Amino acid sequence: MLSYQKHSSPPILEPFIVCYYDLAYTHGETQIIQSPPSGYSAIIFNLGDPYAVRTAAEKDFQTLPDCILAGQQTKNYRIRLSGAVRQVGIVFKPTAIFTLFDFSMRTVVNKRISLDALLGDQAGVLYTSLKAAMDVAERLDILNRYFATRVDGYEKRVNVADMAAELILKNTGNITVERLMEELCVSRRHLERKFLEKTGLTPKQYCRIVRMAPISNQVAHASRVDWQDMVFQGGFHDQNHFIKDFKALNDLSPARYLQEHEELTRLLEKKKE
Amino acid sequence: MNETKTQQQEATSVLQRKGTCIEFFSAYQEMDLERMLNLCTPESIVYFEPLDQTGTGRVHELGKNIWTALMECFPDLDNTVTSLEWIEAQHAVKCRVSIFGTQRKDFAGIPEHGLRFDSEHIFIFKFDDQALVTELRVLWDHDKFVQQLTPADL
Repeated sequence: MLSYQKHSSPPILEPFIVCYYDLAYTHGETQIIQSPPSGYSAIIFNLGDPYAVRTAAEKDFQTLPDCILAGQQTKNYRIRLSGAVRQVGIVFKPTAIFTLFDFSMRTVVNKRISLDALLGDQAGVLYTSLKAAMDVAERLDILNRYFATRVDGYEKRVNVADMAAELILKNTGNITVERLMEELCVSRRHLERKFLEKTGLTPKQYCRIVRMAPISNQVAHASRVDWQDMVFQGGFHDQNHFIKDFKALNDLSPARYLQEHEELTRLLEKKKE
Repeated sequence: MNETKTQQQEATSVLQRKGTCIEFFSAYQEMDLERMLNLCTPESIVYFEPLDQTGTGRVHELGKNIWTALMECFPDLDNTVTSLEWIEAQHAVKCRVSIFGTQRKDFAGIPEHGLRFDSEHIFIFKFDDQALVTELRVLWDHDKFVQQLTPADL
C-alpha cells in the first residue's frame, strides 16, 4: 500500500518550508512512479528499505543514500519503490536552502546528493533521531526544532531571487523576465545571477517548470482531460507550444503521460479492492 | 470588541510605519541626512542589493556614507514616491520610488559627465515597535543607472 501525507510547518518556518511529508510503501512488490518537476527542492530521509531513482539523463535506476538533498528537477523522473519504504521529506521553497544554509543550488540541479554535503555530521544525527522516533508527531518535532535553529541571521542572505521566486509562484509561472525586472527594479544580469545561485535555474527555466507542474499533476490524477482547457489554463499561445513544453519537461506527450498514469491509477485501485 | 480594538491597533501601526517611510523620503528630498538617520535604530542594517557584499552594512555607517556621497555628487537629487504597500507576510513596507539627479562629481567609480539619471527604486523597510526602521533593503537597476551616466559614445 502506498500512503502519502502532508504536514504543515510552524509559522516561524513558513517562509522556507512548503510542507513535510510522510511516505510509506509497504506492499513489497516493485512499483515505479513517475514524478514531474515540482519547482521545489527537498531534503529526504529514508527510514525503510532502499529505493532508487532514474532521471531522464540516466540509463539505470540509482539507489539513493538514506539522507539526501534533492535539487530542482528540470525533467520528469522515475522512483522505484520495493519492500517497505518509509520516507520523511521536507519540501523547501525554491530559494530556501540557500537562505537557510548559505548553500548554492547550482550544482544540485537534476541531482540528489548526500545530505552530508549540506548538513555535515548533523545529517547522521538527525537520521538517527528520526529513526528512533515513535511516531510522525515526534519526527516533525525533531525537524521543526532543527530547522528553527537555522533561521537566525537569514536576513543577510535574502535577496532579489527570493522576491522573484515569490512572484513566479504567485503568477503560476505566467510572468516574463522583463516583467520581473520591472517589478523588482533590477537588471537582467543581477536577477539571473542571483536566481541561478539560489535555485540552480534561470528565472525563465523556473517559470516553465512552475507553469507546467500543476498541469502535469492534474493530468496524472485525471481519467479524462480537456486539453484545450489545459492550454488556456497554462497561458500557452496554442496547443503546439503546450505539447512542446510538456514533452520537454515530462519526456512524454501529454496523451502518453495520461495513459501511463491511468495504468498506474488502475493498478493502485485494483490493490485497494 | 477586543478583536476590533486589535485590528484598529494594527491598522494604526501600519499607518505609523508608512508615515515613517514618507518622512524618510521627505528628509531625503530635503537632503536632511540627519533626519533620515534618526528614523532608523542605531543597529539598523541596510542592504543596497545590487552592490552585493559591499552593499551590506549599518544604516548609520554604510547608509550614511552612500547617501552623503550621492547628495554631494548629485546636488539636485530628488525623489517621487509612487507607491507604498504594506506586506503582511514580511511585516514590511515596500515603497516604489523614482530617484533622479544630475551628476556633478565622480561617484562610486563613475566619472562625471554632467548627465542625469532617473531610476526606479524599491525600498523595503522593516520596523521596531516604535515604528523606527530596523532593516532597509534597496533595489535598483544598477546597469541602467551606470548607462544613464555614461555618454553613448564611450
